[in-house]
Amino acid sequence: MLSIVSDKDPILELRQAWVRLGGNEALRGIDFKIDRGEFVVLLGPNGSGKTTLVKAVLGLLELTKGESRAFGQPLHEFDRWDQIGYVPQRLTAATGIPATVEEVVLSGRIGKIGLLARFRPQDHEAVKRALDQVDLSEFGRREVDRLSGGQQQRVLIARALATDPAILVMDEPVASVDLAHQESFAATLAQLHASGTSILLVAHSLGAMQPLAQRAVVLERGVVVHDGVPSDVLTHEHEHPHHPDDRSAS
Amino acid sequence: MIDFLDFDFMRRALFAGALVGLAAPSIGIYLVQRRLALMGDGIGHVTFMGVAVGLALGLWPVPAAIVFAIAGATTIELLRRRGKTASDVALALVFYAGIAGGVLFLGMGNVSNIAVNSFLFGSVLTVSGEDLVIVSVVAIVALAVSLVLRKHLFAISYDEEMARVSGLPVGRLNLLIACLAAVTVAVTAKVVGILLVSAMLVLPVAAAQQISHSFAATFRLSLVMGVISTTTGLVVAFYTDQFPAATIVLVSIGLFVMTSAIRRFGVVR
Repeated sequence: MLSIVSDKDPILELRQAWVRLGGNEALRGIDFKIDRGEFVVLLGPNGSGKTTLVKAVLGLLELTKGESRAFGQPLHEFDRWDQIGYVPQRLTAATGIPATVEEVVLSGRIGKIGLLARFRPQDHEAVKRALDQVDLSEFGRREVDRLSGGQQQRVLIARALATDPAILVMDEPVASVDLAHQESFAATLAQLHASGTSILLVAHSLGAMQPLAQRAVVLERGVVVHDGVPSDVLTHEHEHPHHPDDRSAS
Repeated sequence: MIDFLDFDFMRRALFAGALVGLAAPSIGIYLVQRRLALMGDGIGHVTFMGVAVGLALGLWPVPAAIVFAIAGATTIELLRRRGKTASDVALALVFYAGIAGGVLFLGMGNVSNIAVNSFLFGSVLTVSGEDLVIVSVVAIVALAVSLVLRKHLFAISYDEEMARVSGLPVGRLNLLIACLAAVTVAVTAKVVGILLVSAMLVLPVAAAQQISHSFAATFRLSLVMGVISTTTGLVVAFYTDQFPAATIVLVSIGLFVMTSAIRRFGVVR
Protein backbone atom coordinates (compact mmCIF):
# COMPACT_ATOMS: atom_id res chain seq x y z
CA MET A 1 0.00 0.00 0.00
CA LEU A 2 1.42 3.39 -0.96
CA SER A 3 2.03 5.70 1.99
CA ILE A 4 1.67 9.34 1.03
CA VAL A 5 1.52 11.17 4.36
CA SER A 6 2.58 10.71 7.94
CA ASP A 7 0.76 7.99 9.87
CA LYS A 8 -0.39 10.62 12.35
CA ASP A 9 -2.70 12.32 9.87
CA PRO A 10 -6.27 11.07 9.78
CA ILE A 11 -7.04 9.50 6.40
CA LEU A 12 -10.36 11.32 6.16
CA GLU A 13 -11.54 14.13 8.37
CA LEU A 14 -14.37 16.60 8.79
CA ARG A 15 -13.88 19.61 11.04
CA GLN A 16 -16.97 21.44 12.26
CA ALA A 17 -18.75 20.45 9.06
CA TRP A 18 -22.16 21.84 8.20
CA VAL A 19 -24.11 20.73 5.14
CA ARG A 20 -27.41 22.23 4.05
CA LEU A 21 -29.69 20.10 1.84
CA GLY A 22 -33.09 21.22 0.59
CA GLY A 23 -33.35 23.96 3.17
CA ASN A 24 -32.45 21.66 6.09
CA GLU A 25 -29.20 21.34 7.99
CA ALA A 26 -28.28 17.73 7.17
CA LEU A 27 -25.01 17.94 9.11
CA ARG A 28 -24.64 20.29 12.04
CA GLY A 29 -21.09 21.02 13.09
CA ILE A 30 -19.75 17.48 12.74
CA ASP A 31 -16.25 16.55 13.83
CA PHE A 32 -15.32 13.21 12.35
CA LYS A 33 -12.13 11.40 11.46
CA ILE A 34 -10.86 8.00 10.53
CA ASP A 35 -7.23 7.15 11.18
CA ARG A 36 -4.91 4.98 9.18
CA GLY A 37 -5.74 1.31 9.65
CA GLU A 38 -9.02 1.95 11.50
CA PHE A 39 -12.28 0.09 10.88
CA VAL A 40 -15.16 2.46 11.64
CA VAL A 41 -18.86 1.72 11.33
CA LEU A 42 -21.21 4.67 10.87
CA LEU A 43 -24.67 4.00 12.26
CA GLY A 44 -27.92 5.90 12.58
CA PRO A 45 -31.59 5.91 11.57
CA ASN A 46 -32.93 7.11 8.21
CA GLY A 47 -32.37 10.81 7.70
CA SER A 48 -29.69 10.97 10.38
CA GLY A 49 -27.08 12.18 7.87
CA LYS A 50 -24.96 9.06 7.28
CA THR A 51 -24.88 9.30 3.48
CA THR A 52 -24.50 13.08 3.70
CA LEU A 53 -21.46 12.62 5.95
CA VAL A 54 -19.90 10.14 3.53
CA LYS A 55 -20.51 12.42 0.56
CA ALA A 56 -19.20 15.43 2.47
CA VAL A 57 -16.02 13.67 3.51
CA LEU A 58 -15.42 12.61 -0.12
CA GLY A 59 -16.14 16.07 -1.52
CA LEU A 60 -19.32 14.98 -3.32
CA LEU A 61 -21.32 17.52 -1.33
CA GLU A 62 -20.23 21.04 -0.61
CA LEU A 63 -19.85 22.09 3.01
CA THR A 64 -21.71 25.23 4.00
CA LYS A 65 -19.24 25.64 6.87
CA GLY A 66 -16.25 23.75 8.14
CA GLU A 67 -13.46 21.83 6.49
CA SER A 68 -12.94 18.48 4.82
CA ARG A 69 -9.48 16.90 4.65
CA ALA A 70 -8.02 13.75 3.10
CA PHE A 71 -4.65 12.29 4.08
CA GLY A 72 -3.91 15.49 5.98
CA GLN A 73 -4.57 17.80 3.03
CA PRO A 74 -7.53 20.11 2.48
CA LEU A 75 -9.80 18.30 0.05
CA HIS A 76 -9.44 20.94 -2.67
CA GLU A 77 -5.67 20.33 -2.70
CA PHE A 78 -5.88 16.54 -2.46
CA ASP A 79 -4.90 14.70 -5.64
CA ARG A 80 -4.32 11.08 -4.64
CA TRP A 81 -7.88 9.95 -5.25
CA ASP A 82 -6.64 6.55 -6.41
CA GLN A 83 -6.10 5.81 -2.70
CA ILE A 84 -9.83 5.86 -2.03
CA GLY A 85 -12.27 3.09 -2.92
CA TYR A 86 -15.96 4.01 -2.80
CA VAL A 87 -19.12 1.93 -2.88
CA PRO A 88 -22.08 4.31 -3.23
CA GLN A 89 -25.47 3.64 -1.73
CA ARG A 90 -27.31 1.98 -4.59
CA LEU A 91 -29.53 -1.03 -4.79
CA THR A 92 -27.98 -2.27 -8.01
CA ALA A 93 -25.15 -1.59 -10.41
CA ALA A 94 -27.48 -1.72 -13.42
CA THR A 95 -28.24 1.48 -15.29
CA GLY A 96 -29.90 0.04 -18.39
CA ILE A 97 -26.69 0.56 -20.36
CA PRO A 98 -25.13 -2.62 -21.66
CA ALA A 99 -21.90 -3.18 -19.75
CA THR A 100 -20.12 -6.30 -18.66
CA VAL A 101 -19.03 -7.01 -15.09
CA GLU A 102 -15.40 -6.64 -16.20
CA GLU A 103 -16.04 -3.25 -17.80
CA VAL A 104 -17.70 -1.91 -14.65
CA VAL A 105 -15.06 -3.28 -12.27
CA LEU A 106 -12.24 -2.08 -14.55
CA SER A 107 -13.73 1.43 -14.41
CA GLY A 108 -12.72 1.40 -10.72
CA ARG A 109 -9.08 1.58 -11.91
CA ILE A 110 -9.69 4.73 -13.95
CA GLY A 111 -8.04 6.99 -11.35
CA LYS A 112 -4.80 5.03 -11.69
CA ILE A 113 -4.19 5.72 -15.38
CA GLY A 114 -3.66 8.98 -17.22
CA LEU A 115 -6.25 10.55 -19.48
CA LEU A 116 -4.57 9.25 -22.62
CA ALA A 117 -3.27 5.96 -21.21
CA ARG A 118 -4.57 2.46 -21.74
CA PHE A 119 -5.33 -0.05 -19.00
CA ARG A 120 -2.23 -2.08 -18.13
CA PRO A 121 -1.88 -5.82 -17.32
CA GLN A 122 -1.81 -4.98 -13.59
CA ASP A 123 -5.20 -3.26 -13.95
CA HIS A 124 -6.71 -6.44 -15.41
CA GLU A 125 -5.05 -8.51 -12.68
CA ALA A 126 -6.56 -6.23 -10.01
CA VAL A 127 -10.00 -6.75 -11.58
CA LYS A 128 -9.54 -10.52 -11.53
CA ARG A 129 -8.48 -10.38 -7.87
CA ALA A 130 -11.44 -8.18 -6.92
CA LEU A 131 -13.91 -10.49 -8.71
CA ASP A 132 -12.41 -13.46 -6.86
CA GLN A 133 -12.88 -11.64 -3.57
CA VAL A 134 -16.62 -11.21 -4.16
CA ASP A 135 -17.10 -14.69 -5.68
CA LEU A 136 -17.85 -13.33 -9.15
CA SER A 137 -14.81 -14.64 -11.01
CA GLU A 138 -17.03 -16.63 -13.38
CA PHE A 139 -19.17 -13.58 -14.19
CA GLY A 140 -16.64 -11.27 -15.84
CA ARG A 141 -18.16 -11.43 -19.33
CA ARG A 142 -21.77 -11.34 -18.12
CA GLU A 143 -23.94 -8.29 -18.63
CA VAL A 144 -24.43 -6.49 -15.32
CA ASP A 145 -28.14 -5.78 -15.64
CA ARG A 146 -28.80 -9.48 -16.15
CA LEU A 147 -27.48 -10.27 -12.65
CA SER A 148 -29.51 -10.39 -9.45
CA GLY A 149 -29.63 -7.35 -7.15
CA GLY A 150 -27.21 -8.95 -4.69
CA GLN A 151 -24.77 -9.88 -7.46
CA GLN A 152 -24.92 -6.35 -8.84
CA GLN A 153 -24.10 -4.96 -5.43
CA ARG A 154 -21.10 -7.29 -5.28
CA VAL A 155 -20.02 -5.89 -8.65
CA LEU A 156 -19.94 -2.41 -7.07
CA ILE A 157 -17.96 -3.77 -4.13
CA ALA A 158 -15.51 -5.42 -6.55
CA ARG A 159 -15.13 -2.10 -8.40
CA ALA A 160 -14.06 -0.44 -5.14
CA LEU A 161 -11.76 -3.34 -4.20
CA ALA A 162 -10.11 -3.19 -7.64
CA THR A 163 -8.71 0.23 -6.79
CA ASP A 164 -6.39 -1.39 -4.18
CA PRO A 165 -7.30 1.51 -1.92
CA ALA A 166 -5.71 2.75 1.29
CA ILE A 167 -9.26 3.37 2.51
CA LEU A 168 -12.55 1.78 1.51
CA VAL A 169 -15.65 3.92 2.01
CA MET A 170 -18.85 1.92 1.68
CA ASP A 171 -22.39 3.21 2.01
CA GLU A 172 -24.59 0.26 2.96
CA PRO A 173 -22.75 -2.11 0.66
CA VAL A 174 -24.59 -5.28 1.67
CA ALA A 175 -28.16 -3.94 1.77
CA SER A 176 -29.42 -6.49 -0.76
CA VAL A 177 -26.70 -9.12 -0.45
CA ASP A 178 -27.77 -12.52 0.91
CA LEU A 179 -26.54 -13.74 4.29
CA ALA A 180 -23.97 -16.18 2.92
CA HIS A 181 -22.33 -13.48 0.86
CA GLN A 182 -22.55 -10.97 3.73
CA GLU A 183 -20.42 -13.39 5.78
CA SER A 184 -18.02 -13.88 2.91
CA PHE A 185 -17.89 -10.08 2.49
CA ALA A 186 -17.11 -9.68 6.21
CA ALA A 187 -14.26 -12.18 5.80
CA THR A 188 -12.91 -10.18 2.84
CA LEU A 189 -13.07 -6.97 4.88
CA ALA A 190 -11.29 -8.68 7.79
CA GLN A 191 -8.51 -9.72 5.40
CA LEU A 192 -8.22 -6.22 3.89
CA HIS A 193 -8.23 -4.61 7.30
CA ALA A 194 -5.53 -7.01 8.50
CA SER A 195 -3.40 -5.96 5.52
CA GLY A 196 -3.66 -2.30 6.58
CA THR A 197 -6.63 -0.97 4.64
CA SER A 198 -8.75 1.56 6.55
CA ILE A 199 -12.47 0.95 6.35
CA LEU A 200 -15.43 3.28 6.78
CA LEU A 201 -18.70 1.39 6.51
CA VAL A 202 -22.20 2.85 6.72
CA ALA A 203 -24.76 0.42 8.07
CA HIS A 204 -28.06 0.30 9.87
CA SER A 205 -26.83 -2.29 12.31
CA LEU A 206 -23.49 -3.70 13.29
CA GLY A 207 -24.55 -7.23 12.33
CA ALA A 208 -21.70 -9.30 10.94
CA MET A 209 -19.34 -6.31 11.25
CA GLN A 210 -19.45 -6.20 15.05
CA PRO A 211 -16.37 -8.34 15.63
CA LEU A 212 -14.41 -6.35 13.01
CA ALA A 213 -15.35 -2.75 13.86
CA GLN A 214 -12.95 -0.91 16.15
CA ARG A 215 -15.10 2.17 16.50
CA ALA A 216 -18.77 2.96 15.98
CA VAL A 217 -19.99 6.47 15.24
CA VAL A 218 -23.71 7.07 15.66
CA LEU A 219 -25.49 9.96 13.98
CA GLU A 220 -28.88 11.39 14.82
CA ARG A 221 -30.34 14.43 13.05
CA GLY A 222 -26.99 15.49 11.68
CA VAL A 223 -25.13 15.30 14.96
CA VAL A 224 -22.72 12.68 16.35
CA VAL A 225 -24.38 11.21 19.43
CA HIS A 226 -21.88 8.44 20.04
CA ASP A 227 -18.27 7.89 19.06
CA GLY A 228 -16.64 4.93 20.77
CA VAL A 229 -16.31 1.21 20.98
CA PRO A 230 -19.03 -0.76 19.19
CA SER A 231 -20.10 -2.68 22.31
CA ASP A 232 -21.25 0.61 23.87
CA VAL A 233 -23.56 1.17 20.90
CA LEU A 234 -25.36 -2.07 21.63
CA THR A 235 -25.57 -1.19 25.30
CA HIS A 236 -27.01 2.26 24.63
CA GLU A 237 -29.51 0.95 22.10
CA HIS A 238 -28.30 3.28 19.39
CA GLU A 239 -28.32 0.45 16.94
CA HIS A 240 -31.37 0.47 14.70
CA PRO A 241 -32.92 -2.69 13.32
CA HIS A 242 -33.12 -3.06 9.58
CA HIS A 243 -36.44 -1.92 8.22
CA PRO A 244 -37.88 -2.24 4.68
CA ASP A 245 -37.78 1.54 4.29
CA ASP A 246 -34.15 1.72 5.30
CA ARG A 247 -32.95 1.77 1.72
CA SER A 248 -33.91 5.37 1.19
CA ALA A 249 -31.09 7.91 1.25
CA SER A 250 -30.19 8.94 4.73
CA MET B 1 -31.66 1.98 -63.63
CA ILE B 2 -29.59 5.11 -62.98
CA ASP B 3 -26.51 4.42 -60.85
CA PHE B 4 -26.40 6.90 -57.96
CA LEU B 5 -22.61 6.74 -57.91
CA ASP B 6 -22.51 8.32 -61.37
CA PHE B 7 -23.39 11.65 -59.76
CA ASP B 8 -20.77 13.81 -58.10
CA PHE B 9 -23.28 15.30 -55.63
CA MET B 10 -24.27 11.78 -54.50
CA ARG B 11 -20.66 10.74 -53.95
CA ARG B 12 -20.13 13.88 -51.84
CA ALA B 13 -23.40 13.30 -49.99
CA LEU B 14 -22.53 9.67 -49.24
CA PHE B 15 -19.10 10.67 -47.94
CA ALA B 16 -20.57 13.40 -45.73
CA GLY B 17 -23.35 11.06 -44.61
CA ALA B 18 -20.91 8.30 -43.66
CA LEU B 19 -18.86 10.79 -41.61
CA VAL B 20 -21.98 11.99 -39.81
CA GLY B 21 -22.97 8.36 -39.28
CA LEU B 22 -19.64 7.77 -37.52
CA ALA B 23 -19.36 11.02 -35.57
CA ALA B 24 -22.88 11.49 -34.21
CA PRO B 25 -23.30 8.13 -32.42
CA SER B 26 -19.71 8.25 -31.11
CA ILE B 27 -20.71 11.32 -29.06
CA GLY B 28 -24.38 10.41 -28.67
CA ILE B 29 -23.55 7.22 -26.78
CA TYR B 30 -22.40 9.26 -23.78
CA LEU B 31 -25.56 11.38 -23.87
CA VAL B 32 -27.76 8.27 -24.03
CA GLN B 33 -25.84 6.73 -21.13
CA ARG B 34 -26.42 9.80 -19.00
CA ARG B 35 -30.11 9.89 -19.96
CA LEU B 36 -29.53 13.12 -21.86
CA ALA B 37 -30.82 11.78 -25.17
CA LEU B 38 -32.79 14.96 -25.78
CA MET B 39 -29.75 17.20 -25.29
CA GLY B 40 -29.11 17.06 -29.05
CA ASP B 41 -32.61 18.44 -29.63
CA GLY B 42 -31.97 21.29 -27.20
CA ILE B 43 -28.72 22.09 -28.97
CA GLY B 44 -30.50 21.82 -32.33
CA HIS B 45 -32.96 24.52 -31.33
CA VAL B 46 -30.15 26.87 -30.33
CA THR B 47 -28.39 26.00 -33.58
CA PHE B 48 -31.52 27.26 -35.33
CA MET B 49 -31.00 30.63 -33.63
CA GLY B 50 -27.35 30.65 -34.80
CA VAL B 51 -28.39 29.84 -38.37
CA ALA B 52 -31.02 32.60 -38.21
CA VAL B 53 -28.44 35.14 -36.99
CA GLY B 54 -26.03 34.09 -39.76
CA LEU B 55 -28.69 34.31 -42.46
CA ALA B 56 -30.11 37.60 -41.15
CA LEU B 57 -26.65 39.19 -41.15
CA GLY B 58 -25.80 37.75 -44.57
CA LEU B 59 -22.98 35.61 -43.14
CA TRP B 60 -22.07 31.95 -43.67
CA PRO B 61 -24.52 30.35 -41.19
CA VAL B 62 -22.40 27.34 -40.13
CA PRO B 63 -19.85 29.23 -37.96
CA ALA B 64 -22.68 31.18 -36.27
CA ALA B 65 -24.52 27.90 -35.72
CA ILE B 66 -21.41 26.39 -34.10
CA VAL B 67 -20.98 29.36 -31.73
CA PHE B 68 -24.64 29.31 -30.67
CA ALA B 69 -24.68 25.52 -30.33
CA ILE B 70 -21.64 25.58 -28.02
CA ALA B 71 -23.24 28.36 -25.94
CA GLY B 72 -26.47 26.34 -25.69
CA ALA B 73 -24.69 23.11 -24.75
CA THR B 74 -22.61 24.88 -22.13
CA THR B 75 -25.75 26.45 -20.66
CA ILE B 76 -27.52 23.08 -20.46
CA GLU B 77 -24.49 21.47 -18.83
CA LEU B 78 -24.02 24.28 -16.29
CA LEU B 79 -27.72 24.38 -15.39
CA ARG B 80 -27.69 20.61 -14.97
CA ARG B 81 -24.51 20.69 -12.89
CA ARG B 82 -25.79 23.32 -10.49
CA GLY B 83 -28.52 20.84 -9.65
CA LYS B 84 -31.08 23.51 -8.85
CA THR B 85 -32.61 23.13 -12.31
CA ALA B 86 -33.63 19.62 -13.33
CA SER B 87 -32.14 18.34 -16.61
CA ASP B 88 -35.52 18.36 -18.38
CA VAL B 89 -36.30 21.92 -17.26
CA ALA B 90 -32.81 23.07 -18.33
CA LEU B 91 -33.40 21.49 -21.74
CA ALA B 92 -36.86 23.06 -22.05
CA LEU B 93 -35.44 26.51 -21.27
CA VAL B 94 -32.84 26.15 -24.01
CA PHE B 95 -35.40 24.67 -26.47
CA TYR B 96 -37.74 27.62 -26.16
CA ALA B 97 -35.04 30.29 -26.05
CA GLY B 98 -33.51 28.82 -29.22
CA ILE B 99 -36.74 28.71 -31.20
CA ALA B 100 -37.91 32.13 -29.99
CA GLY B 101 -34.53 33.71 -30.74
CA GLY B 102 -34.40 32.04 -34.17
CA VAL B 103 -37.85 33.26 -35.16
CA LEU B 104 -37.00 36.74 -33.88
CA PHE B 105 -33.80 37.01 -35.96
CA LEU B 106 -35.46 35.57 -39.08
CA GLY B 107 -38.15 38.22 -38.68
CA MET B 108 -35.53 40.97 -38.38
CA GLY B 109 -33.63 39.87 -41.51
CA ASN B 110 -34.85 39.41 -45.04
CA VAL B 111 -34.23 35.67 -45.19
CA SER B 112 -35.47 33.37 -47.96
CA ASN B 113 -37.55 30.34 -47.04
CA ILE B 114 -35.29 28.11 -49.16
CA ALA B 115 -32.24 29.00 -47.07
CA VAL B 116 -34.13 28.39 -43.83
CA ASN B 117 -35.60 25.11 -45.06
CA SER B 118 -32.21 23.76 -46.09
CA PHE B 119 -31.14 23.95 -42.44
CA LEU B 120 -34.46 22.90 -40.92
CA PHE B 121 -34.82 19.81 -43.10
CA GLY B 122 -31.23 19.31 -44.28
CA SER B 123 -29.84 19.55 -47.78
CA VAL B 124 -27.26 16.84 -47.98
CA LEU B 125 -27.50 16.77 -51.79
CA THR B 126 -26.15 20.32 -51.92
CA VAL B 127 -23.13 19.63 -49.72
CA SER B 128 -20.28 21.76 -51.04
CA GLY B 129 -16.55 21.13 -50.94
CA GLU B 130 -16.24 23.55 -48.01
CA ASP B 131 -19.02 21.76 -46.14
CA LEU B 132 -17.26 18.47 -46.71
CA VAL B 133 -14.02 19.78 -45.22
CA ILE B 134 -15.83 21.03 -42.09
CA VAL B 135 -17.81 17.81 -41.68
CA SER B 136 -14.61 15.78 -42.09
CA VAL B 137 -12.68 17.78 -39.49
CA VAL B 138 -15.54 17.63 -36.95
CA ALA B 139 -16.10 13.92 -37.54
CA ILE B 140 -12.41 13.09 -37.09
CA VAL B 141 -12.15 15.18 -33.89
CA ALA B 142 -15.38 13.75 -32.43
CA LEU B 143 -14.37 10.20 -33.23
CA ALA B 144 -10.81 10.67 -31.94
CA VAL B 145 -11.94 12.20 -28.64
CA SER B 146 -14.62 9.61 -28.03
CA LEU B 147 -12.19 6.79 -28.78
CA VAL B 148 -9.20 8.10 -26.84
CA LEU B 149 -11.25 9.09 -23.77
CA ARG B 150 -13.64 6.15 -24.00
CA LYS B 151 -12.59 4.58 -20.67
CA HIS B 152 -12.95 7.85 -18.80
CA LEU B 153 -16.21 8.88 -20.46
CA PHE B 154 -17.64 5.42 -19.76
CA ALA B 155 -16.71 5.70 -16.07
CA ILE B 156 -18.37 9.13 -15.84
CA SER B 157 -21.48 8.12 -17.76
CA TYR B 158 -21.87 4.93 -15.74
CA ASP B 159 -21.41 6.42 -12.28
CA GLU B 160 -20.58 10.11 -12.01
CA GLU B 161 -20.07 10.03 -8.22
CA MET B 162 -17.59 7.18 -8.42
CA ALA B 163 -15.78 8.97 -11.24
CA ARG B 164 -15.47 12.07 -9.03
CA VAL B 165 -14.07 10.00 -6.17
CA SER B 166 -11.59 8.49 -8.64
CA GLY B 167 -10.31 12.03 -9.20
CA LEU B 168 -11.48 12.41 -12.81
CA PRO B 169 -12.08 16.00 -13.99
CA VAL B 170 -15.77 15.14 -14.35
CA GLY B 171 -17.00 18.71 -14.89
CA ARG B 172 -14.48 19.43 -17.64
CA LEU B 173 -15.05 16.10 -19.42
CA ASN B 174 -18.84 16.56 -19.31
CA LEU B 175 -18.40 20.02 -20.77
CA LEU B 176 -16.11 18.61 -23.47
CA ILE B 177 -18.76 16.08 -24.50
CA ALA B 178 -21.48 18.77 -24.45
CA CYS B 179 -19.35 21.02 -26.70
CA LEU B 180 -18.48 18.16 -29.06
CA ALA B 181 -22.18 17.30 -29.27
CA ALA B 182 -22.86 20.96 -30.04
CA VAL B 183 -20.31 21.15 -32.85
CA THR B 184 -21.50 17.81 -34.25
CA VAL B 185 -25.13 19.00 -34.21
CA ALA B 186 -24.29 22.35 -35.81
CA VAL B 187 -22.34 20.71 -38.62
CA THR B 188 -24.69 17.75 -39.01
CA ALA B 189 -27.64 20.11 -39.40
CA LYS B 190 -26.65 20.62 -43.03
CA VAL B 191 -27.04 16.87 -43.64
CA VAL B 192 -30.12 15.79 -41.68
CA GLY B 193 -31.58 19.14 -40.70
CA ILE B 194 -32.05 20.81 -37.33
CA LEU B 195 -35.41 19.15 -36.74
CA LEU B 196 -33.97 15.63 -37.02
CA VAL B 197 -30.38 16.18 -36.04
CA SER B 198 -30.75 14.64 -32.59
CA ALA B 199 -31.93 11.39 -34.17
CA MET B 200 -28.44 10.60 -35.45
CA LEU B 201 -26.99 11.09 -31.98
CA VAL B 202 -29.50 8.78 -30.36
CA LEU B 203 -31.11 6.25 -32.72
CA PRO B 204 -28.02 4.29 -33.84
CA VAL B 205 -27.03 3.95 -30.17
CA ALA B 206 -30.52 2.86 -29.17
CA ALA B 207 -30.54 0.27 -31.97
CA ALA B 208 -27.10 -1.06 -31.04
CA GLN B 209 -28.00 -1.20 -27.35
CA GLN B 210 -30.73 -3.74 -28.07
CA ILE B 211 -28.36 -6.47 -29.23
CA SER B 212 -25.11 -5.67 -27.39
CA HIS B 213 -24.07 -6.98 -24.02
CA SER B 214 -21.06 -4.76 -23.43
CA PHE B 215 -20.25 -1.09 -23.72
CA ALA B 216 -17.43 -1.76 -26.19
CA ALA B 217 -19.77 -3.72 -28.49
CA THR B 218 -22.47 -1.04 -28.21
CA PHE B 219 -19.93 1.61 -29.20
CA ARG B 220 -18.71 -0.27 -32.28
CA LEU B 221 -22.19 -1.32 -33.39
CA SER B 222 -23.53 2.24 -32.96
CA LEU B 223 -21.02 3.46 -35.53
CA VAL B 224 -21.99 0.68 -37.94
CA MET B 225 -25.69 1.51 -37.45
CA GLY B 226 -24.94 5.21 -37.99
CA VAL B 227 -23.18 4.62 -41.30
CA ILE B 228 -25.84 2.15 -42.52
CA SER B 229 -28.59 4.68 -41.64
CA THR B 230 -27.06 7.64 -43.46
CA THR B 231 -25.84 5.84 -46.57
CA THR B 232 -28.93 3.66 -47.02
CA GLY B 233 -31.18 6.63 -46.30
CA LEU B 234 -29.40 8.69 -48.98
CA VAL B 235 -29.71 5.97 -51.60
CA VAL B 236 -33.40 5.47 -50.78
CA ALA B 237 -33.95 9.24 -51.04
CA PHE B 238 -32.19 9.29 -54.43
CA TYR B 239 -34.43 6.62 -55.94
CA THR B 240 -37.71 7.74 -54.29
CA ASP B 241 -37.13 11.49 -54.70
CA GLN B 242 -37.76 12.18 -51.02
CA PHE B 243 -36.01 14.39 -48.44
CA PRO B 244 -32.82 12.51 -47.42
CA ALA B 245 -33.22 13.64 -43.79
CA ALA B 246 -36.52 11.78 -43.58
CA THR B 247 -35.27 8.57 -45.20
CA ILE B 248 -32.07 8.58 -43.08
CA VAL B 249 -34.05 8.85 -39.84
CA LEU B 250 -36.64 6.31 -40.99
CA VAL B 251 -33.87 3.83 -41.81
CA SER B 252 -32.48 4.42 -38.27
CA ILE B 253 -35.90 3.75 -36.79
CA GLY B 254 -36.17 0.64 -38.97
CA LEU B 255 -32.86 -0.61 -37.58
CA PHE B 256 -34.08 0.05 -34.04
CA VAL B 257 -37.29 -1.91 -34.67
CA MET B 258 -35.27 -4.74 -36.20
CA THR B 259 -32.78 -5.00 -33.32
CA SER B 260 -35.60 -4.73 -30.79
CA ALA B 261 -37.33 -7.65 -32.50
CA ILE B 262 -34.09 -9.64 -32.51
CA ARG B 263 -33.74 -9.01 -28.79
CA ARG B 264 -37.37 -9.78 -28.07
CA PHE B 265 -37.27 -13.11 -29.84
CA GLY B 266 -34.12 -14.02 -28.00
CA VAL B 267 -31.76 -14.40 -30.93
CA VAL B 268 -29.06 -12.55 -28.99
CA ARG B 269 -28.31 -11.78 -25.34
